[in-house]
Amino acid sequence: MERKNTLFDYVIYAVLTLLGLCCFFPFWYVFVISTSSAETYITDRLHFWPRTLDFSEYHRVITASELPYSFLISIFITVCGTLLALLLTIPCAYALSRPQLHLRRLFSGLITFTMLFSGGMIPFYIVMTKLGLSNRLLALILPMACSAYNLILSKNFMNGIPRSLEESARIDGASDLRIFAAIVVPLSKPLIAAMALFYAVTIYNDYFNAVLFISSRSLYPLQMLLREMIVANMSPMMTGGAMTQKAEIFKMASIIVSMIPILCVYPFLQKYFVRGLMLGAVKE
Amino acid sequence: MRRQKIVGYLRRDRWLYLMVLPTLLWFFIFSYAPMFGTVIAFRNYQPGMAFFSLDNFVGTQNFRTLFADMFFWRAFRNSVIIAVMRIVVCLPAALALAILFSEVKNRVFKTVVQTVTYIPHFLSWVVVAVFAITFFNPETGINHLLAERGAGLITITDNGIFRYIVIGADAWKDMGFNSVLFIAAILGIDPALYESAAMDGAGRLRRIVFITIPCIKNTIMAVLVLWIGIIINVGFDQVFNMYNPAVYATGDIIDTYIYRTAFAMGGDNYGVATAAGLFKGVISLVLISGANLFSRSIGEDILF
Repeated sequence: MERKNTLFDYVIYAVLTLLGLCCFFPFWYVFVISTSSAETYITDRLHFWPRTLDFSEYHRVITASELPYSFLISIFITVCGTLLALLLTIPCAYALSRPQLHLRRLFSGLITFTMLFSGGMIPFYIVMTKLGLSNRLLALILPMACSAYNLILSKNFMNGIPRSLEESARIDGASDLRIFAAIVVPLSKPLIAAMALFYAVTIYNDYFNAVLFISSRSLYPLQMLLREMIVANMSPMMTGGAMTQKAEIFKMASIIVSMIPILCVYPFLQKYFVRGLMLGAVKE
Repeated sequence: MRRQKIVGYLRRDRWLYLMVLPTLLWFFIFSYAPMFGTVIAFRNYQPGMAFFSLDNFVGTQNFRTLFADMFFWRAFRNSVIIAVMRIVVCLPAALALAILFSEVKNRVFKTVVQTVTYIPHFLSWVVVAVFAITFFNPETGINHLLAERGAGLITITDNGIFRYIVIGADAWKDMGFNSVLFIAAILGIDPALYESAAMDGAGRLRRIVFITIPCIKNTIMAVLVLWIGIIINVGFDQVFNMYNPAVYATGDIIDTYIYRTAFAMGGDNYGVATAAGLFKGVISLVLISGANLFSRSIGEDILF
């Protein structure tokens, strides 16, 4: 395909550039507001181009708000939750992929069924409160610690690991645990990376468990804090005054700060993300 | 004899069983216990009462209350409308994006645009909702521009517009993500098909229409059917973070209705809320099972 670009190519480039800009623009818009000062917020209501690069609200977000604290809570639950999720997902997926395991169809069936039917929000809420998880960080970790979809995806990946690889180790007397640790885990690195990414993003971005179970502000994860700060009092249309503008700029600065981990980490992890999705899409 | 055999298998595969056990336990606590808990749809359940019991059994009273509530049917209707709009807008958008990507020759350009279109998927719905609310702030940005020209404003408190904003936010967030499945399918097409078509003088557009799309037809069908299968489950995060009392008429969906019935409308009305959840659960059980059977029948078991 070393042909020269035709009109068709230029149309494609133009359309994709436009789509890319559409995806990018909201980030830019929020950034422009976050660096406005209370005056420029009023004088330039368009916010398409930064008139001032005033980072004073960022300073306030970092030094004088609850955000850094909530941020640490989010990092904590994300790390713990992801580790726990990998422990619950990868070994189980391996075991379910082994044909010698007699009850594997029953087990897989039980897990698959949870994707078809769920008890719904209220029974889940009651189970969680009966377990004494209200106002505990465990309420943000435990329910996120496994996913039927990820488990099935991992099982399908593990199906592709040939049994012959294990046979020689088995003849040497290695146990299933040893085989898992020494043979299967190294072969599954791309899977584990993709799963870690999926779980970490889901847990970091989860707000609803916090809405349901966390009422004490000192335990708010980041998304819950943002939600309360912004969505719950949805009032950019409230009356004017420098306080309102400052509040609006402060919100935008908080949003930008909350996205930093994802924006920093994502470009390096994109290939795992795409590969992980392909795991689900392409089957041998 | 048989017992010995079973014990033998258990001993031989003890590590495998140990690997499955914790995960299975997790599913019993967080998926199956709530499933059995749906029995409170048939009870007048009050907070603090025993969960797995039949105290205050009221038969189908909660369902009768639910089905007599016009707001429930409004939420039901809104759920279906929003899901259908999502199918009509977001699915073709993802497909088109995948085809566009497959036609790009310059790898750097492709990587940059892919990165930019995938990133919104990694933001939380809270953040996306803030983007939408800020973007359609009646006093700034786009609306400022519209107001200067005397045009009508686009606000998220407008019943006529709210659904479009929800769908727009959905497309913005997940268009790139949804396109990956189609990209994978396009990568699987035999390049010889394109070459022979080119020899016969077929232009690029003709090759898209007569090779790319027919070759990934099964994937498209499977995704379409899956999206139809989850038709009354979608939209909670979008709507929950963006809606406000001004747009309940067009924006309230079943899940937000359940949430408010149980937690916000002043009445810990767990019985009715659970009844609504069970009603929805049974419908989606039927739809998703059907979708799964269908996609298996066309050899595309992308679901499970």
